[in-house]
Amino acid sequence: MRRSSRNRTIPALVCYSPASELELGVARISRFTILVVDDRLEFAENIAEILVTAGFEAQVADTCQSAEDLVAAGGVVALITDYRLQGETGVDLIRRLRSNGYDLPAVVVSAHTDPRTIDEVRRAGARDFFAKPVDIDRLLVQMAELTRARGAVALDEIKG
Amino acid sequence: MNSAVSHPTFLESLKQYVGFDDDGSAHLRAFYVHAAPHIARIVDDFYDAIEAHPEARAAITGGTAQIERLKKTLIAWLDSLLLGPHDEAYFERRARIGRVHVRISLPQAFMFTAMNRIRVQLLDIAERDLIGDPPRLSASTSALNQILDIELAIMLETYREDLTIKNNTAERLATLGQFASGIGHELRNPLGIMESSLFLLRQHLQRLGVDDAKIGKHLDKIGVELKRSNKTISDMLDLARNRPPRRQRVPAKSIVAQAVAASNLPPEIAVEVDAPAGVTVDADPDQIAQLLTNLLLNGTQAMGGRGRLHVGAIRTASETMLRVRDEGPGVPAEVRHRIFEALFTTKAKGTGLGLALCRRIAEAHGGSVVLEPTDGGASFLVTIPDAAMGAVAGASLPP
Repeated sequence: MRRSSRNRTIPALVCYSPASELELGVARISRFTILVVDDRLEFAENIAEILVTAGFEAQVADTCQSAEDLVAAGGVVALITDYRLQGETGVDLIRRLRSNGYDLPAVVVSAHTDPRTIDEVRRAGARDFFAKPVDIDRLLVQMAELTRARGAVALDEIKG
Repeated sequence: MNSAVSHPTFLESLKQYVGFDDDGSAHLRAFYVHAAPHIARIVDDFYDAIEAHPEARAAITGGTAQIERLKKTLIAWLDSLLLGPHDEAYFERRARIGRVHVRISLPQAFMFTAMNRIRVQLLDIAERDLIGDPPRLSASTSALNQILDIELAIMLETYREDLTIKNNTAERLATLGQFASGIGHELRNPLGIMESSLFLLRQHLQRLGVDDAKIGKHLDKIGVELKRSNKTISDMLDLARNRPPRRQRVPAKSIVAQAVAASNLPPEIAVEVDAPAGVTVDADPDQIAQLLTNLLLNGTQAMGGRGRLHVGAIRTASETMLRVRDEGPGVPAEVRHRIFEALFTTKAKGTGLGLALCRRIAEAHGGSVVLEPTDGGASFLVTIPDAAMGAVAGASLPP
């Protein structure tokens, strides 16, 4: 039972997230989006909605391929990916993106918390590992840090 | 109960194999009058040899009192060795004694050499007393050798039986581990969705300005139960993974309190705790609490959810002993040696996991958990040696 791959932004949710609501001190740069990848789209959508509520922008994907397409389309500055993705893994995705020239800060979320998986995730250069169910506060803090760094770099680029 | 030892034809096949028959039994009975005056001496010599040997001595933890008891047992053992009758009941008694040796972790090598000491002395007596009657000497020595070979075979069979149980347990736990791990991970995904939906629901209500105590109460309940489900799954995965203990020295009293709290016992269950303030245990507190929790729940179920549980903690020089006793009907004799096997259960709703996990946790600490003989109820004794001691003992015993 393979789900067809879908790419979606969640524009409706972006709308009700005025800068005044931001509690995390994140510099909101609307062009910078966090991509959430999970073959359970319900989960990806929830995390995306939480991110949006916290002032980020978010997109979701449920396969490696659709995630790669979204990254190639531009605007994605950070990645939250599930470890298991329909025969592939979040680590595969991180490596493939990197070999295609997209060195995005990434965190991995997984129901599998055995030391081997965690070790593999760390060695792939992921910034953090989250067990499911996710500690949402910690995830938001981590994403704030990752995007702040990325945002600063981007702003420098814009300023030239 | 398909174990080889309890199989009725095992003794017959052994007898046939070594050529022991009713004549042999008769010769042993006739030889008894010659051996009887020497039996006390043989027994003393037997235990002197054990006491002189540190590794064999280690299997006897009960000091002089235990040795005195064991000597009486050995006298009775020698009496019935010669007097018989060498029937199935005899055979079952012998197998039980063998299981005691296995239980106290007496290394097989000592069991062998100990049996040989007895053999040499009995044959000496035969040669001295029957030297003038060569046919009888020959028949008696032959019967002695045959019956002692049978004894040895029974002992070895009990060791093999124990090994089979350990293997079965390991195999079953491995299968179960895979199963638990598959289910556990699959359940974490929906939990992740529920938890994040709950988070969003709270945010949306806040945004809408809804501050309703009834709604809040139910959201809190969902949150608490999600956490509890997640904890159960994590515990199950931890155990399936067989995490090595993270040892620290903690008061036994606090681990017992942790276990009692985690057991969530019905109000009709009274728990009497006797854990003096100075008694500590060098162990992984969470794992030992989990072990005690299992024993408390077992006791509660054995008593039909109503009665008194006794939990005790005592220290020796190098180990901590924890005892959980109930006042239920006790464990039937015929299942006593199987209760620690994984997936073995006598309860309609049992998983056969609890005691297997108890055993695994105790053994991971270099210790043991055993069912103690009692007059009533079931009493489990958990022995946890201090870390350094456990490592040494673990290294010197056969796997």
